[in-house]
Amino acid sequence: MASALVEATRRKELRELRTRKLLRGGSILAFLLLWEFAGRTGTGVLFPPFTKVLASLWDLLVSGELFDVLWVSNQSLIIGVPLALLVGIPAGIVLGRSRLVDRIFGVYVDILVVTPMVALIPIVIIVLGLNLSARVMMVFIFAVVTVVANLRTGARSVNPHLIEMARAFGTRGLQLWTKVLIPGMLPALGAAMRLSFSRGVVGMVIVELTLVSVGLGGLVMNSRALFKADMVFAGTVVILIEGLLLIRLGRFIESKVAPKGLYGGSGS
Amino acid sequence: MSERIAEAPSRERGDFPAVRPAPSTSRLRKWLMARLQWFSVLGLIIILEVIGRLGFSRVIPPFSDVVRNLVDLARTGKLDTITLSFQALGIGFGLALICGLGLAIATTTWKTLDYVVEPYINAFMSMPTSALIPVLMIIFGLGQTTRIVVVFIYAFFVIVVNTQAGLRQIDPNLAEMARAFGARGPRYLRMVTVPAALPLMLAGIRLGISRALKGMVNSETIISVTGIGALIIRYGRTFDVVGVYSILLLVIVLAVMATGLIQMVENRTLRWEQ
Repeated sequence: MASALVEATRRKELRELRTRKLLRGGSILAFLLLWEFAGRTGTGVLFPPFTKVLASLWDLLVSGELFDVLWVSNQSLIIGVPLALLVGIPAGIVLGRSRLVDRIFGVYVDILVVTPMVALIPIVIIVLGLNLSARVMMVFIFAVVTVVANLRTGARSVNPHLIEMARAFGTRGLQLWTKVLIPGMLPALGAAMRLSFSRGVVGMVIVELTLVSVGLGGLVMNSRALFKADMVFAGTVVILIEGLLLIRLGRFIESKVAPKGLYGGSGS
Repeated sequence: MSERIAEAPSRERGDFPAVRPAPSTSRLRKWLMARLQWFSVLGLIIILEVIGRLGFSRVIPPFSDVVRNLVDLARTGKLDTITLSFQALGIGFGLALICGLGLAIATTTWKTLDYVVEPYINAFMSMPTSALIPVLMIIFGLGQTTRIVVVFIYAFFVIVVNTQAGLRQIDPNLAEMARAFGARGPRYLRMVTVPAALPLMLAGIRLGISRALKGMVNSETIISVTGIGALIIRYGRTFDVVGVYSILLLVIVLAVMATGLIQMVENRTLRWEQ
């Protein structure tokens, strides 16, 4: 009898899941159709239909230009993001655990979190020039602020009851760190890694769209200047896909660093 | 759940467990510690001023020069283009606020709508939104419309997601109890929904205004015709170091003010929650 109820609930859930997937797929399909339609009518030259954009993407792929462009762009990402994590994680932890340091330097983190980083690009370029190091610096800056902010909050909010209990049992110093504090910070660590990817991509793209016209951003901006709308769209699609893929990767890494439910957040 | 709200102020201060007795501190020291952040910023400004005056580096001008330049720019009308920026910001953010709150309420009420809209919301939250700006330039041109659209997109999704989170974490027991006492419609909204969802909603609005500002600056930097962003590019291209710092200072002040305002409202509301 009970199993029949369970069966019915499961069937209902599966049906809900299927309707969800259908609606999702349906709305995406509707979007693509709308795109195609809008491209074929209206201002044809400036708004390419979906199929034309696909064709441009195919051209990019076949000519190998796609890979060149991706490589140039991602150099800054590959160097910048690990650097941001290397610097940001310890910095965030120190800010989170030391009240004094937080009072002195925390202000700047708070300010940087809300500042449009774009405003920093000219300074970076003046100092470093129009080259890879400037781009790496921007990726670094975009990512590091988020990492520090996250680790700071995460380091602060390690369950104080756990710490107190550990201290009561005589845990001190290094052991306190390895056995209590760092495991407590793992969720924040995972989140920081995921966010560093997405912020890094943002930094990578913005620099290329504004001052250093190379790579993907350069492709988009140059195509725009030449009125090649299909290429602009194609380039944008590539950027968006890369962004989404990196988020997926980030989420995967996060799930490995901090498996859900293993290290209880507050009070479990 | 209510723990999270009550914890909120102390979360910011990072209280350590009271296992170690606090060392006795003089009153002066306590006063200093409380204001340490201001001293830190003041210290930095002084350091920058000194480094600038000593002329160690071409790229670090004295702080007073930067401020003076900024005032000059304002006086000679070079900053007038910022009015257009603020117009775009105001309209874009206002629309994002209305539509964002609306969509969040709608998706929590009607699940089907939620299913349809969710992939788009997720997509927009995970993508580098600045990548959309060139495409929007093609569709909407190089004028004010594009900037309003960009500001809207930047702020909209953050507001939606945070408001949804706020609405979703309403304690069902509370809701049921209120309904048992006969609260319906607008009364229910006022007594249950708004107070319970408000903290996260306000957080969403705060993040939204910061995103809106970033959207404004990003779009102007990429479009590069008018506004703060255009000034950033211009001073950058001409290697006008003082100019670049002036605009940076202006941007920072704007960002901090806008966010700080909402943060004050947030703190006021949280205190009331106690």
